[in-house]
Amino acid sequence: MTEEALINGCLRNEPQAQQELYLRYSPKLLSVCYRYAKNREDAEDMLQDGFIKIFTQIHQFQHLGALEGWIRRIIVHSCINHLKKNKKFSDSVDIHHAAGKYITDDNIPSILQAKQVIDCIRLLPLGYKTVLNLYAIEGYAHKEIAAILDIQESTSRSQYTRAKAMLEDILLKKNLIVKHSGKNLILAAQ
Amino acid sequence: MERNDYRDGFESFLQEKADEYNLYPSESVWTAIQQKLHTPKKWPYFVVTLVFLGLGIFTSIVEPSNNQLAFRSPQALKKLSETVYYKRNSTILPASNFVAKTPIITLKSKKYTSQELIVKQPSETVTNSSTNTQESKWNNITAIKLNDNHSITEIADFSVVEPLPTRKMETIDATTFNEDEEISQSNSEVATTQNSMDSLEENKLDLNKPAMLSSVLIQPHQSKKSKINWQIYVSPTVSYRNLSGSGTSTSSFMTQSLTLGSTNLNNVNNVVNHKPALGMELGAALVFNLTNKFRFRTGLQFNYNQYDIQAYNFTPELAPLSAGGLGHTEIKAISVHRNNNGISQTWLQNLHAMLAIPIGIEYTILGNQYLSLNIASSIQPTYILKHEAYMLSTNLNNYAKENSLNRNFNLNASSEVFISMQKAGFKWSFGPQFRYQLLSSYKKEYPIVEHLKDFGFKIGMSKTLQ
Repeated sequence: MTEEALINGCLRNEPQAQQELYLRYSPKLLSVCYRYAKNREDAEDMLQDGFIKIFTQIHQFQHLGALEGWIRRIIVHSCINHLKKNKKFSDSVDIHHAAGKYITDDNIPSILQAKQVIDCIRLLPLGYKTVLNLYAIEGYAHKEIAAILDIQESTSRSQYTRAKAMLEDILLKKNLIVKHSGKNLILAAQ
Repeated sequence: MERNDYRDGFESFLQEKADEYNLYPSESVWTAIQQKLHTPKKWPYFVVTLVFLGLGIFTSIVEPSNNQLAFRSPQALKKLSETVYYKRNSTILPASNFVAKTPIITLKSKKYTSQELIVKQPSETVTNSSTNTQESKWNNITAIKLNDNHSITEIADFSVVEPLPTRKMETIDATTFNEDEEISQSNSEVATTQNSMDSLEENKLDLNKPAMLSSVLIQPHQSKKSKINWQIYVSPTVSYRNLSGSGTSTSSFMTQSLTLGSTNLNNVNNVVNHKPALGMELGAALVFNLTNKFRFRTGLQFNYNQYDIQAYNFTPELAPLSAGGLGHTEIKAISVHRNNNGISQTWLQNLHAMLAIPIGIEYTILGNQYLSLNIASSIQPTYILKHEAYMLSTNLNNYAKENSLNRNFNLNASSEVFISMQKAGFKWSFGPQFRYQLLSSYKKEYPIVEHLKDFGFKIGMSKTLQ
């Protein structure tokens, strides 16, 4: 089924089209949710809420960009909304609370590549990983992140800097990146 | 959107790894999504059931079962039915069409204090010399007499001829009698009836002679009039809303609204463009007569209302819907609609389906039992069955839905003026009504207060309970 047919089917609320769209995008989108969530169950809840929004609001898709991009933004907002329902989240995006957390060698997973990197990101404090996910992976600007998370733009920047440093440290310890002449170099895929 | 175009190798590395990583959700996720999207909405069935149930009860009350006057003495009847004539719709029909168990007369009533079936029989045959034909002289004979308080279906035998008591009786054509008709006794009718009664004493029904149905004398059972009425009603409505900001969150809401730079933004009504839409009200009620003028009313009522909001389609963005503050996390929803300046204009529809228990008073200003002018008001505890509403964000920029801020229970007040008239056994009422939602549609965390209001024209049909 073409993307156009898929959209039209979803607009007509056809279960078959909805299922195909779900099957097509859910693996990638669940991994997006997983990066924000505390555990897999939370990630699936985020995915479920996000897809319900996608199907109920698909008539708002303007064909101005790729469908996947539009879907992904809905899912990311669904993740952030889900996180915000937890009162601890507002504290966790505060840099002063997150700064005191440290990662030990024992926490670092020993599996390879993509999952290893994702699991390393998930080790970060909630505020750090949220900003890092939004900035480094989703491509949001700090100004947008500040609006989404209700923080200052400068806070977003410093959160990201600290998140990045912490993640690099973890990846160094896992030998996924190496330090050379004072700079971190990314290793080729294993 | 301002993109972070500059990306070093580290960010690209992360993005690449994130894109490579897929996870497969459990089956329960899709099942839950499907259920949410395709589970049939229950409230329309509930309402339809409610309406039909109400109509069923109402119909069973206003349509009493027909009691049939049947002769149960087949032998006697057989002789009689061959010669008795049956009057129906002003046409004389031979009663031979109505033999044995076939009812000869159908009466639309349940109980009578007394009943008389009178037939005419020729007492003698005279020959008309001019036409050379035989003519009969007919006498009235009471063919059936029932004692007081017998149900008409209890006729067990073909009992014959007793002197009628000298009391007021009504002569009514059996085929057109309806218990609901007003019984007005004129003196002449009484006299006529009484004359025929007198002649009965010396006449007895001869089953070997031809007979013709003459009349049925009936005195309906005088039951005490019930003080309770059933009523069903429907009201097409025009729905609208009042918006305002209030409560402790007002300051935050007002501060944000002022940042828009428009004039007079303190009044939220100045920044929204909405228009009324059609709705409806359906209900069934019990009305208790307290006095001649006051009545108490309660029942079950369904309301459906909606209105439209002008908005503009836009790309997804976050819309703040509650004020943050000490101990509160600000609620934001994803919005694809802007209040102003979007990609294309659209109209959003906010709709509500509610179930209410109206408790109110009716008062008759003037008139009588046939025609009267009344006023009524009620308070209506309400449960919201369906709440599909776009909320204006607290910065007044977007529209978004956020179910967690919807109020499930509310309180409405209603007032109406109506004319009531008696027609065809029913009391019909019609007149304008106004319904106002006393509490905001949303919880107090949402700083914009919305009160729904409906203007309608109510049409009701009621009937006294038996």
